[in-house]
Amino acid sequence: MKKYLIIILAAATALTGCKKFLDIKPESEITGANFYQVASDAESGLIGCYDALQPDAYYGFDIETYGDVTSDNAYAGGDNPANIQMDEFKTDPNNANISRDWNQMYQAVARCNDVIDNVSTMDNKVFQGNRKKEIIAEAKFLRALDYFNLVRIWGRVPLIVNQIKDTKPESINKGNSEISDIYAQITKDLTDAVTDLPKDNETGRATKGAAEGILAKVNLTNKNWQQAADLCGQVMGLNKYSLVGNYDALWSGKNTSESLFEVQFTGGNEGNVMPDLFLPFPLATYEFLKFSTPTEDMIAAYEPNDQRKAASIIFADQYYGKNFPHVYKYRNAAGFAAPTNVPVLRYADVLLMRAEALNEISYPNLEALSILNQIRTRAGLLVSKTLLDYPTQESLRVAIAKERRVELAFEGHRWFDLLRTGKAISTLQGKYPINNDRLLFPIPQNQIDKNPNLKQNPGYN
Amino acid sequence: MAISYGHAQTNARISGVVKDEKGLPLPGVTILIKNSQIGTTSNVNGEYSLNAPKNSTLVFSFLGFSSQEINIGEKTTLNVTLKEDISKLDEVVVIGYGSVKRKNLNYATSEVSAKSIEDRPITSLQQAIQGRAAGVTVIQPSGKPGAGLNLRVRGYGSLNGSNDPLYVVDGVQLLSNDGINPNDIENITILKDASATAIYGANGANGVVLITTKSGSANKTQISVESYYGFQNVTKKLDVLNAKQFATLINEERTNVGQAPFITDVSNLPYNTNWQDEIYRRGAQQNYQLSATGGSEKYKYYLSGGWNAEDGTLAPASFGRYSIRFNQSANLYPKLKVGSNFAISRVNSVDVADNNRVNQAGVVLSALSTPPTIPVQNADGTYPQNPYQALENPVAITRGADNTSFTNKILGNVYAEYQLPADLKIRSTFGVEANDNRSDSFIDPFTTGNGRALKGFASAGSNNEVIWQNENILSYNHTFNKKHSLDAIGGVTFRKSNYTGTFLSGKNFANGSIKTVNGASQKIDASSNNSGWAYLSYLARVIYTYNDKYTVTGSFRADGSSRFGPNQKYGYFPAASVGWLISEEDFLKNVSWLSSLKLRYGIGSNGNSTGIGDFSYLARYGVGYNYPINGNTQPGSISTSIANNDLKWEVNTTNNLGLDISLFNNRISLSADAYYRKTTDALVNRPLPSQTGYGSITQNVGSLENKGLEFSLNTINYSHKNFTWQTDVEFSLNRNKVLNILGQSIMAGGVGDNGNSTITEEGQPISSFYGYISDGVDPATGNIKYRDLNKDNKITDADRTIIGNPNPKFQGGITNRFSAFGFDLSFLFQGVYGNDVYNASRIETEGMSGPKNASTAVLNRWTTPGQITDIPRAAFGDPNQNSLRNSTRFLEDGSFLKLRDLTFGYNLTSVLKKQSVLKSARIYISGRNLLTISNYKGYDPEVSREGANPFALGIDYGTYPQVRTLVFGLNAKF
Repeated sequence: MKKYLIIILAAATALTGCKKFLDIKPESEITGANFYQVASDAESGLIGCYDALQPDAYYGFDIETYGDVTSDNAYAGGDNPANIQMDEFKTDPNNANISRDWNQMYQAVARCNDVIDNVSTMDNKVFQGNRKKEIIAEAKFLRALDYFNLVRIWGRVPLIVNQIKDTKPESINKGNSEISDIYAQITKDLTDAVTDLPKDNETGRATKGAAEGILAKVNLTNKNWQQAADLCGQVMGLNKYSLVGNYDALWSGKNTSESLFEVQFTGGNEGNVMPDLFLPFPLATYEFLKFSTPTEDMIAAYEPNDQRKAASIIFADQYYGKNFPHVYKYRNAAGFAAPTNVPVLRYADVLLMRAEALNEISYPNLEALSILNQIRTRAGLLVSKTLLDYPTQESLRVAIAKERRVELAFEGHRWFDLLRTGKAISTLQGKYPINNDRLLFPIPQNQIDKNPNLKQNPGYN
Repeated sequence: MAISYGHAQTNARISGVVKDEKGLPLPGVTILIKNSQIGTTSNVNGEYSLNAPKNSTLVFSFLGFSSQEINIGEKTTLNVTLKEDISKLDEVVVIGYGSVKRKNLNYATSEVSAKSIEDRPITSLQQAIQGRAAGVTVIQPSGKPGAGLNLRVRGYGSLNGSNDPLYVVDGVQLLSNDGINPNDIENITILKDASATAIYGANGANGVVLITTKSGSANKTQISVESYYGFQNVTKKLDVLNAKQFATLINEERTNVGQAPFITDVSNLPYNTNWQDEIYRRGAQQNYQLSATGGSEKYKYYLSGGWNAEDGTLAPASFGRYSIRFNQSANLYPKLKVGSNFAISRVNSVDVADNNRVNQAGVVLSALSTPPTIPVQNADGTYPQNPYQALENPVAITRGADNTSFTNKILGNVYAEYQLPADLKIRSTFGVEANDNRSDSFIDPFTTGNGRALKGFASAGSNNEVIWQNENILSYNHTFNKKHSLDAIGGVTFRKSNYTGTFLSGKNFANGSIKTVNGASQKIDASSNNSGWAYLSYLARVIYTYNDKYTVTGSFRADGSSRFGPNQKYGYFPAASVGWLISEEDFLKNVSWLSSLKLRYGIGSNGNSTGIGDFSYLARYGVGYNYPINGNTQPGSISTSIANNDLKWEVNTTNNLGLDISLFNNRISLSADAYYRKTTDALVNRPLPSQTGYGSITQNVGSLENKGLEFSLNTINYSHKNFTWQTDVEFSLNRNKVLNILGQSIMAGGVGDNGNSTITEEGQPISSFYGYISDGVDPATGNIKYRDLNKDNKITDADRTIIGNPNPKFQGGITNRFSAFGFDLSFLFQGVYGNDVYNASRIETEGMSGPKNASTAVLNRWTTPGQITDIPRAAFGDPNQNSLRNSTRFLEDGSFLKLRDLTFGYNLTSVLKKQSVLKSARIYISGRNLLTISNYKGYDPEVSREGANPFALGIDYGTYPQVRTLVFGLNAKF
């Protein structure tokens, strides 16, 4: 009997000895263990970072709502209570838009963190040339853009710069960060991006010029006038960008000579919903109450003969009534899947930023005036302005701000311009119940519910 | 040689007393003169007397006792002691990895024998269990042929894992129980409490259904033919409006909201189509089984082939199963036995789209809501849609789409058993389950609007999963000093799966002649994926009995799985039980009416590992997050989950206290069990702050409980030579409560535009119905008055509350079996009480908010101020949300009592000539769901739109109606 027992035990041990039996590797799923091995893994992770910009909860719709609907450029339009709240400064912490936007922007940040953390530890040898550095630089550019949006919309958001790998409270429940810390991170990421990104890159990818331009805007926001002016100058010095001859061509085309960075859409699965949300029927596929309808004030802001008006706004008989204004910058509707890009940074924006910064540094500045005329001339306003038209620094400041408004209308900039120039309350009060607390949006309640360290912005409790 | 009654001169009076082994008189014993119909029955004192020829043989028989044949010779007095058949206590009960005598059984089990399966129009083994096992709930979610049944042992113990029990066929653990032919089943034992199921470790939490298939017996060759053929019909049709009533209604809907009516002339309507008559037909059900069994002491076999086919009441729904089985065992050497059990089956089924409203092409609600004012088909062969809303008519839906699937299955094992010295035995089995499944669908480019828009659509999905299993069990069985009996096992088992799946789809077909994806000019999907898992387990169990009175058991299993996180690679599952056969104690031994009395208690811990995917513990990346670069879409991948190195099985702990009592020579047997089943470490999706980049993570953090009582009563009410009557009763109740889901409210059960209708939250039963309280129709306005629970003078989401519970308060079944003069009759009444059903179909049929037909209930709709009624006004678009809110208006009592089975048969054996090759024959008629008693307004309260989804139970939303089946059967044995 002993003999048999020994045989059985030996057999059992032999069989169980191979620990490999339980070691089954996924074949059809990518996991942390088998990803970020080769260059194409890193490239596809990076594509995921760009992909995060497309949804309607980000550049695919809602950035326009923050920039233009919240400001004096447009009404909410449509029939969506969340948009109406944002238009009327009544945004509730349970507002569906801010909830989805917070999710999406942090989703975008997390994808960048993933790429930056993991590609950094990859062997340089699996990449060609400088590609490893460039991939990290592209991800840093995107992370900076994401945080720039987060900090301008919500203020003291949690600054997270590494991939979350466990669910310990200290890992998942980071509280509010200081705004200065967030801007320091944005500046650091963009500075790295400026260093490592090439001047020319594949269409759709971040470039040195794009990083310089966004960094200029960050500096302009923080009133670092000289740095802003210098960075804009660096963009100009690249000798890569130029204004297109006809303003309307910006909206009938894409990725023009004026484009520093724009969110790419090619239709179908990579389609844009905005044209269908904005355009009147039958330019749009469907007929319903359209979103982001231009205000009377916006329409009046265009001077006679300004070609930008017809390029930006189309009037049509629709649900709202006869000859009603609709945003016309996003065209080629295709059943919520349009091949229409969304501009993030245009050369005209860079030029106007330089003009603004130079005017802030000293008055009079002829280059600032010249830039203003360059922008106006392209728009069909052929009579050049002189210093006599802007006898004071403030008058030129107002002129540049107004030029930014009509030049960049419905591109998601106006509200952020009003914020950084301190003009939001003076511009909108009387029309809306705006006050200091309403310069930031409420942090979504569902996030505060999930994270005990996250504190609501003042005035929303 | 037959003795005729007339030859009185050769007869002598013989009398005596029949007693059992305890010396107690046995009344009701049948005493027959062999090979005749002459006989008598013993009286209450066990006494009998009759006239019998000298030297004839008397046959003494009594249910539950072995018959005795005694030649009377010249005697005039004959006292007989009958032995219990196999005494009920010595019956062997199958438990996992072995069997045990009933008197030593400490576990809570239910058994269903082949007798409950034979001669009934059932297609699945769950139907055989329905109403016959206490504590086991079987719900048939719809009447669709081949619809999977939900079998729950002691309630719902998991939220995000499966609640299906583990099925084990001849020792092979199953992944899918489809394709099992119930006619091949000899016995089903359901292990209910954890002291029994812990031996199945991480897969035993939902109970274990042990299935033993038939085997041959020595020197008894038998060929059997079993067959039945019959019909099925929907149990009920619902009354809907005729053309004129419909036209009046939809016009009223419009004028009530100030819009122009749809139909100008309601008196001139060319059609009055009855859509239910168009789609429901008389279905058919048939079954044929041919089997051969036999063998010798050394070799035994069972061979069978079966065909079961069901043509549903709603064409083209159908189900067909072909199966063959070959079981054999051989004693190769005195110490070595080998054997195998193998079955191959193929299941074909054709599906129809139900469980949706007509907007999503649900055929049942289309039949109820399509206007009667249009014809089935136009003269040009096209199918008209609802003229006001572009929705398909139900005939178009059923004809416009083909949904077919098949599964080929191989299930079986081979084993070798070797007797070692010293009462040790080793048994190794190698088992396999291979499922090869393929589903095809085709929507033709002409018949339906959807088909025309897509220009035809086809998809083909196939998956193949092969699971092999190897078990090596060493067992030891010995009795020491006649008093200490020890039954011990120990072993190691391996189980591994390989899965492959492919899916293709395409659209844009030139015509309808090619129905497969190759005809699509535009491909949509082409994907495949491979996966797999493995278990490595160690198990041990000891059953020790002292003097047949005291039994203690202990078992232990360690399960390692590829699915578990690295920190939890092995789960450990202990169990123990004690049992006391009180009736064997001296002080009860002589209590004549007490046959047996046993008290037992068991506690154990087991697991449920179905809720975790093959690689769920890993940090995973998802594909398809693409972006165009240079105008070309580039593939993007993103991190979609955080690694969870602690991911593991859900833990289930059950305490069970049971009592078995048998009285009056086992004529009354009662088993009662009380249990408390608690699930801890339940998988819950824990929401994460979005700043992490992840929405949620699945963690073992939840808990829930089930507690209940089970009673099973078997009685022999009457036993006489020509007439017996037996009754089996099962009754049980279960209370379910969610204890911890991190404070979440999990909403589910979305119906149409009304949104979610169920909520699962802490302190409440799983899947409670959630909505507004309707206080009826306001006579002034004709609108529903919803209760303003938070008293803010507005009806908002905050006024919703828990309005019902889909879990029954109790359930039960009563089977009665009669036999007399060769006839036999058995019937099962089965019912549930105290559960609610959300009849969301009525949102469609009583909504009166669009150009859809309605039930005749709306003839009582509110039309004039002051009118008292329970049906609100008709209003296009439902501006007052009279039906667009989930409310108590559509909640109904789901209690029912069904005549689930009725079989009436006649045994032809006694009229057959003895020399005939035919040994026995039987004809019968059998019905299923012949009668349903219920207040339910829909088709049938036994309904579950979302099948087994534990978050959305008891919802009726255009579900394929239950059917009534009647078959005629013929069995013959050669």
